[in-house]
Amino acid sequence: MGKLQYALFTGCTAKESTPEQLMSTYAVAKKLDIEIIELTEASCCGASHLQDYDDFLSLVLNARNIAYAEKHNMTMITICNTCQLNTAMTKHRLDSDAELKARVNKKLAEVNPDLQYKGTSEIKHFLYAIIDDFGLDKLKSLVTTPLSQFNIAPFYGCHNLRPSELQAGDNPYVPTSLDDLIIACGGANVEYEEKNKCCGFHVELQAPHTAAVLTGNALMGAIDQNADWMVTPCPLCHLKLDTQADHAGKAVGRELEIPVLHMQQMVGLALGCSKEELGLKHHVTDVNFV
Amino acid sequence: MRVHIKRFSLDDEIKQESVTYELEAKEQTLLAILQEIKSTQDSSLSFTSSCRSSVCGSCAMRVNGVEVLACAYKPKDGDVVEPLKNMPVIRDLVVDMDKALTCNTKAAAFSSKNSKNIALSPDDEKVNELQSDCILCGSCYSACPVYESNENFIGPFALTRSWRYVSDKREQDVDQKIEAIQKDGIWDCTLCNECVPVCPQGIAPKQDIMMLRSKSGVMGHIDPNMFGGGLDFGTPTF
Repeated sequence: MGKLQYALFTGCTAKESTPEQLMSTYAVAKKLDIEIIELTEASCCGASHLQDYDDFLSLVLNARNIAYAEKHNMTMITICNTCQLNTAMTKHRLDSDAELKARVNKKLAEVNPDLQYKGTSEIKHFLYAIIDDFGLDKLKSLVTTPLSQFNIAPFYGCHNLRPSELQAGDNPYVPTSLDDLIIACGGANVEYEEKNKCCGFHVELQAPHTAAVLTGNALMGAIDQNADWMVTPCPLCHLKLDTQADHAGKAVGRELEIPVLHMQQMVGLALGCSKEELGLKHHVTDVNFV
Repeated sequence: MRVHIKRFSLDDEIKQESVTYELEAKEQTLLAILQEIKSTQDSSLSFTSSCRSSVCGSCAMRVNGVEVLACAYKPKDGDVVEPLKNMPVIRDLVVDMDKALTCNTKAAAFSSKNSKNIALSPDDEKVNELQSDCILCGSCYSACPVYESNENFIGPFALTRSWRYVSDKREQDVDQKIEAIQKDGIWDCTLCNECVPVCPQGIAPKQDIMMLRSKSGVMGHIDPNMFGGGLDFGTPTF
C-alpha cells in the first residue's frame, strides 16, 4: 500500500472552537504516516442552517470545497459529522442530477473560471479513512500505549450515521466503527443506549432545554454503564458533551462529570502522542487520567 | 423460535413484564406470529392491526429498539417486541396515538377550505407525492428525541404533512400554515435524522422540516428563540 494522502476539509469548528481536534488530527496523521493537504481555500459547509435560507448557495459552497479536493485528485476527509453530511449530501445530489450540477458549475465559474465540480473525489470522515483505508489491524500493530485500563463510551453523532445511504456503511441502529476503533486502541468499549442518539447541538440556541436534556441523557447513559470517559468523532457533539456538561446536569437533575475526548485524541494517546500534541488541556471537564 | 414480548397492563396498577413465547420457526411476519400467539397460546395479548399489507400503519411497534410495521417485519429467534415509545400504553402493544394525531391540527396540516380547485400536472403531483404517502403509523414520533423531551413539540409526521400542504399549489393559506409551525415546530428539530430510517414509507421528515425552514426564511420568519428573535440575517443578495 502506498502512502495514504488526503485533502482535509477542516470545517469551521475544528479551526475555531476545538483547535485541539485539529492538532490531534495532524498528530495522528504524522504517527500513521498519512499525508494531509489542508484545503485552506474551503469555506463553511452551511452547518445545516444555511440550507434553510438558500439551498442553492449551500450546494455551491459545498461543491466549491469539493472542487478544491478534486484539483488535488485526492479523497476529501472531514473531521466533523455535520461537514461530512453536508458535503456528502451535496455530492449525492450533484452526481445524480446533471442539470443541477450544470447550474452549480455555472455559478462556480463566475467565482473562479478554473473551478469545476466533477464528482471525482470521494468524501469520507477521518474515522472511516482510518478504519477502511489504513486498517484496524495495522493501527493495532502501531499501538504503543494500549488503553487497556479504560472503559470508553463511544458517542457516534447523528450525521455520521443517518441518512444511511449517504454514509460509510455503519448500521444506523447498531453502529460498530467507533467501538472497533476503541478495541483496536486496546480499550474496552462501553455499550449504552444513547451511543447513536442525538447530542442536541443543533437546537442549542433554539430549544436549550431539549438540547440540555439530550446531552444529559447521553452523559448519564455513559456514566451509568461505568465508562471512564467518552469519545466522539464529531466536534459539535464534543462541544455539547464537554462544555455543556454542567448545564446538562442541571436539566436532568444530576451532577454529570466525565471527560470527553475527540476520536483523534484517543488514537493519539494509544499511539504515544504527548498530552501537548493532543491539546488535552483545552477541555472543560478535565482530562485527569493522562 | 422464541419471541419476547414486553407486556403492559393498566387493569389494576401499571404492570410491565416480559413474556417469552415459543413458536415453530417458519417464514412469517411478526403480525402473523402475534395472531398465532393470540389464537393458540394467550388470547389476552393485545395489539392493533388492520390491512396486513403496510398500508394502514396501525401495527407499528418496536423490535429490538427499532420501529417496524409488524405486518412487514420477519422476526428472528430472540427478538424483543415492545410498544412504540413516547406514547401512553393502553395495553401490551397498543398505544394511545391521540396526542400525536392532534399535532396535525396544531400544525394546520390539512387542506384549507378555500384551496383553489385547479388541476395539477404530473409534475405538480410529484412535488409532494412522497409526503402524501404518510400512513400516520407513529414510528417517527416514537424515534424522535425532541418529542421525547418536549411534550409540546409538533413532531415529524405533522411537519411532513405540513410540507405536503404548504408545497401544494392549490393551497391558499400558506401564511397561516407556516405561522402555525414556528413555535415548538420546525426550529426545535435537532436534525438528528432519527425519523428518517424508521419510516416504512421511505419519507424523510427531517428533509421536509428543512424545506419548511427554508420556506419560512423566505417568508421573513426567523427562529423565534434565537437571540431573543432579534437577529436579522438581512436579505440575501446572491
